[in-house]
Amino acid sequence: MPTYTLPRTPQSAEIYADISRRGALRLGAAAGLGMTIGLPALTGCSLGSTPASRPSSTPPARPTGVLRVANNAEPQTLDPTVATNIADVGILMHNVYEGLVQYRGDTNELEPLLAEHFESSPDAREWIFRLRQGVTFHDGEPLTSSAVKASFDYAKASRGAYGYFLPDGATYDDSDPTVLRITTPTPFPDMARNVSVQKIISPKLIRAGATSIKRSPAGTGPFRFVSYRTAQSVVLEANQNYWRTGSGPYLERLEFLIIPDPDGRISALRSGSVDLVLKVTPTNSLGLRGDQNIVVTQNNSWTTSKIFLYTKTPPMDNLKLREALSYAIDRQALIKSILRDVGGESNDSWVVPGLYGYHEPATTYPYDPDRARQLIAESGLPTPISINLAYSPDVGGPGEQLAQAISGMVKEVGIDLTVVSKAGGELGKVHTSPGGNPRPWHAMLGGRTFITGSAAHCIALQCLERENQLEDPRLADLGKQVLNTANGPERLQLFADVEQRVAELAPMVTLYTEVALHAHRNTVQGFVPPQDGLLPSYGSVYLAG
Amino acid sequence: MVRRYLLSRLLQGVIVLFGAVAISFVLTNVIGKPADVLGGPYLTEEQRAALNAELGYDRPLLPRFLDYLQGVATGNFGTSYRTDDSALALVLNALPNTLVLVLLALVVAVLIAISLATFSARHREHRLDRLLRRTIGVLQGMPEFWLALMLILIFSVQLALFPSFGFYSPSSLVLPAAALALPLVPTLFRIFRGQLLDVLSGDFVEAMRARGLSERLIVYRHALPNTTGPSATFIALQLGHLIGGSLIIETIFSWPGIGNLTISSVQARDFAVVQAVIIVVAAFYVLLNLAADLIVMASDPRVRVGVS
Repeated sequence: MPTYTLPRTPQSAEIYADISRRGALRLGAAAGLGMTIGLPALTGCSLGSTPASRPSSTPPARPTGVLRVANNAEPQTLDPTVATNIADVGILMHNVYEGLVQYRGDTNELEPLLAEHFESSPDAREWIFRLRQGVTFHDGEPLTSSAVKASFDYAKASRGAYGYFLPDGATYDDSDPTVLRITTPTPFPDMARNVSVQKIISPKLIRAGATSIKRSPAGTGPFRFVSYRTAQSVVLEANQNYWRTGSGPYLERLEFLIIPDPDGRISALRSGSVDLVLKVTPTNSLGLRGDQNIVVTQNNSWTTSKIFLYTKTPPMDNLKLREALSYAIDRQALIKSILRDVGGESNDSWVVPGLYGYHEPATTYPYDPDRARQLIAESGLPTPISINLAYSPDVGGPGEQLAQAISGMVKEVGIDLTVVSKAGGELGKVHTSPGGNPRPWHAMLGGRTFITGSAAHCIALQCLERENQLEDPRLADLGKQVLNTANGPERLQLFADVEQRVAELAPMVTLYTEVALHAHRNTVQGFVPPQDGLLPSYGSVYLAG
Repeated sequence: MVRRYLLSRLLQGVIVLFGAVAISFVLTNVIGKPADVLGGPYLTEEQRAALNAELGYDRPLLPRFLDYLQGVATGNFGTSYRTDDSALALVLNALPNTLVLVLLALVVAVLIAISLATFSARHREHRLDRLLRRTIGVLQGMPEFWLALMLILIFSVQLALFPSFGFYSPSSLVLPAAALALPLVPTLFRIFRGQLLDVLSGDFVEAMRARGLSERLIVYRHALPNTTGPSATFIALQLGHLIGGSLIIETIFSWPGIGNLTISSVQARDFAVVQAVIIVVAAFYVLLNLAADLIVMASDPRVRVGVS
């Protein structure tokens, strides 16, 4: 029997001290405690007046009121093992479904959720999740180790994105209904972080099949699924039997109103037709800050915006050219002029600062056009060097402005950069094709979200090899070691070595950490902006008055 | 003879529909595959291919098209991969919302246009008539989306009179219907005015004036009904145009109609739904054309004689 060294909760964690990462991703503004503006009734949308209400600092004794959230788009799917967008998984995760563990609200520390305790063997080959007792799914099924195993099996088999976060060849021991033991053929130190994105689905629903999962989601979360009407809304209601006591849900009903037009969402918020808008643009946020009825929250997300350089596509295979590009781009100017100063940190790490696996590299590329010109001269490439940079307008955001501004900056050092606009699907397909495949453009403007709160899953997916066409034996070896070393100081050093090696190879220009901006009426209280920028929880939200 | 004419029009309609099916199938399939969207940034090419295979997109285009054609012929337009619902059912659920909006917009536009055209024709070359004609030209120059945003800013954000999105009550109809109707008014106004002026210069109107009938009676009782025949064809065809034009308005107002459904389905690569939308709209357009022909035949004996 292996020796388990982990404590019951992360608060007193020993080994988990390294999972408990920095406090740098602190929340920007807290949810507004507010002004005396009430909510118009949703039904009938009578918007003529907004009845006054008094601010309340305490949540109601029982679920009350309707929170109307502007949903950015139509859900792609309500299957939680496939959904990846804020418009779908943003509704499901933390609200309908829950995971075994989660990141604690305003920190980046893991804490138990459906598992009241979790621990691993020192070699990280065996994990134990001790489940909470008395938890039931929305359809009445009890939470057991077999239910969790069924969810993991379903996710692994579904071919959706989340299955890849679970270990290959794992064996699940569910003989004790309250304990799930997972044994993996090789060390799997990221199990706890990776299962934080796995939603535990009712086993009854899994037995009913994929169609049922898409149509009537049922988890253990604070809200139950009520309805989904295409192009209209997704409606949830309070789970009256929620297992957590004293922590919500405080809302009787949650309505996600599908408003794909960004300006339409802002108008709806201003007029009081909706209470909360997620992911507003920097420009819109500046306008909203002047409205006394609206609170804008701002926090760093787990996404970095960067230029991926395709290192096997000449002339991008020239290291000096890649370094020159890094020196030639004035990131602070981009943040100031294009993001209107609403931008996150800018540094040379390939990981979001503060996430598990982040370590600021010694090699940095501050804005230095003279150094860039010198490197271009040393590169041996005839000038001007012609390259093209692809971006997609489909993903929203200031992609085109950024690309055009970058084109202007690098022109100063002798690089003729052509901006190419492509459909999101085409861009993604090229970007994730095998690293050896020829690429039709030299670089891509995009982002990377570290959805598990760690750099490790990206190493496991060989992001750098595929997305940046990076072939480096030293980096490959470091990656293997990272994935096979248990959490601890030795692993953190390996992460630091990876960081340094990536910075030396310059396969990307990290522009900035994306900032997530959310806006809500000041009657909305208890809203905590999600630290990942993607998955908000409405369990703690209530309405003033 | 009339029956043969109708049969020939129906046959033409079937050919148009086949074209719509073929073009929609090919075009939607060249823009990508569902896994491009569903996989997000986490799937490798192999994993993406596996997901596409799971969704049935690994077969060549032609066999898939033949299967699709067979399905359409039997009323099976495929299934939305997002919800597992019938694509046709999703479209038919959204269609009434679009029709309500479009019909209301058309009725409003026609009523405004007829009122203004009648006033203008009765006061021909009066300074108010000239002012009206110039002012209405400005309305025609306003882009629909701009007008929609202005209506939202004024009537929803500033005055809080009407909702700016969705379809939750009759008041939800006001702003999107106005945004669709107002740009249509100038064209309808010119058509009605021209028709009315033609009719008012006719001999039978002169005869009525000579008999001492009041101008009001002549215009409302006799002249206006004589403009409906030719205008009806135009109005019927406008309905088809409005359904297409409602795409932008539905997006701005988050209207749960087929325009919104189309946009979200294209974004999600939900091809079955996109194709069903195109086919249903094409069928609707074919039927409208046929209806317009029938209206003309019914209202104008000269056309009936021509067909015979």
